[in-house]
Amino acid sequence: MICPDNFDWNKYLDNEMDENNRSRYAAHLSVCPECHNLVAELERQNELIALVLQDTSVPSDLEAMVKRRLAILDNRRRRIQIGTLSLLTISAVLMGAIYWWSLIAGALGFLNIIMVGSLKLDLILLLARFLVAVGEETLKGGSVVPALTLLIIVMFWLARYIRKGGYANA
Amino acid sequence: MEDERKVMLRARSGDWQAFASLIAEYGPAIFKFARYLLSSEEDAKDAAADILVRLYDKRDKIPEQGFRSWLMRVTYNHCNDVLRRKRTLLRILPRFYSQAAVCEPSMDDALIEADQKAVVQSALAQLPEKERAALVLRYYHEMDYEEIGAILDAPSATVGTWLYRGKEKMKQILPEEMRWEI
Repeated sequence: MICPDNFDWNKYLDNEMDENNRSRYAAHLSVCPECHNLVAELERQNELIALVLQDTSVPSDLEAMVKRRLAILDNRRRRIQIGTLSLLTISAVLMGAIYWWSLIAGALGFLNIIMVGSLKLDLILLLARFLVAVGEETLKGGSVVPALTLLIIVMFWLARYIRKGGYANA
Repeated sequence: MEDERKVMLRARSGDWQAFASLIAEYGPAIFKFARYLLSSEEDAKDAAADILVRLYDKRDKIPEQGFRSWLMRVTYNHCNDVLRRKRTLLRILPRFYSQAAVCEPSMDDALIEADQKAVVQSALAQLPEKERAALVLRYYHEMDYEEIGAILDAPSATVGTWLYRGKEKMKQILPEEMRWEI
C-alpha cells in the first residue's frame, strides 16, 4: 500500500472511513514508521484544537441576560399592543363620527321623542328631515334602499309600540 | 439533565425552569460556536443571548428530535447574518467600524503574551468561516461529517476538505515553534 496523504489520515482519525479501508490503513500504520509519526502529529493537532475549544470560557450571566432581554421584549410587545388598540379605538370613533353622523343624530332624536314622550311635532319634523335626506340622496344617485328599509322597520315598531299604549301622548 | 425529550416538551409549553435547564445545557455550546464564528467574545455573548431569546419566543418550533444539530444550524445562520451586517457597515462606514472589526488580538500580541491558547484561537479566527465552523463542530461538538454537512449545507466530502484545509492553514499561520511538525 502506498503511504496515504494527510487528507486520508484525517479521515481515518475522524472515523470517517468504512471498516474495510480502516483496517487497511491500520495495518499500514503498524508497519510504516513515517505514517506512524504523521498520524501522531495529526492526533496532537486535533487534541490541541479540541483543548483550546474546550477551554474557552463561557459567560456566567447568560441566563440572566436572556431573562433581561425577554422582559424587555415582553414590555415592548405590551406597549405595541396597547398602542395598536388605542389607535384602532380612536380610528373607529372618528370613522363612526364621520360616516354615521346622520344616523347617530337621527337615533338620538328618535330616542329623545321616546324618552320625553310628548313631542308629536318633533316626530313629524324628524320624519320630514329623514325624507328630505333620502330625497337628496336619490337626486345624487346614491342608494336609498337601506334608509327606506330602516324607516319601514322604525314605523312598524312605532305603530306596535303605540298600539300597546306605550306612547300615550303620540 | 433529566430526560431531554421531557425537558424539551416542558420548555415548549413555556415552563421557564425547563428552558433555563436548556440554557445551562446548550448555552455554552451556542456561545463557543458563535465565539469562533464571530471572532469576538462580546459579539458571541450578544448572539447567544439573541438566539436563546428567539428560541424562547418561538418555542413551539423547537424540534423534538435532532435538537442539537438544529440549534447549531440556527446559530450558524444567525452568526452569518451578524457577519454580513458587520461587513456591510464596514463597507458603508469604514471609519467608524474599522476599529471594532479588528478587535481580536493580533498574532504579535498573542506571541508577546506567549499564550498558546490565544495563539491557536487567533489562528482559528483567521480561517474562512466554513473551515472555522467545521473545525468547531468537529473538535468541540464532536459531530461527524454528515451532521456537520447538514448544518453547513454541504456534502460530507466537502466537510472533509474544509477540515483538512483549515488545519493546513492553521499550520501555516501558527508561529514556527508552535507548528505541529508534519
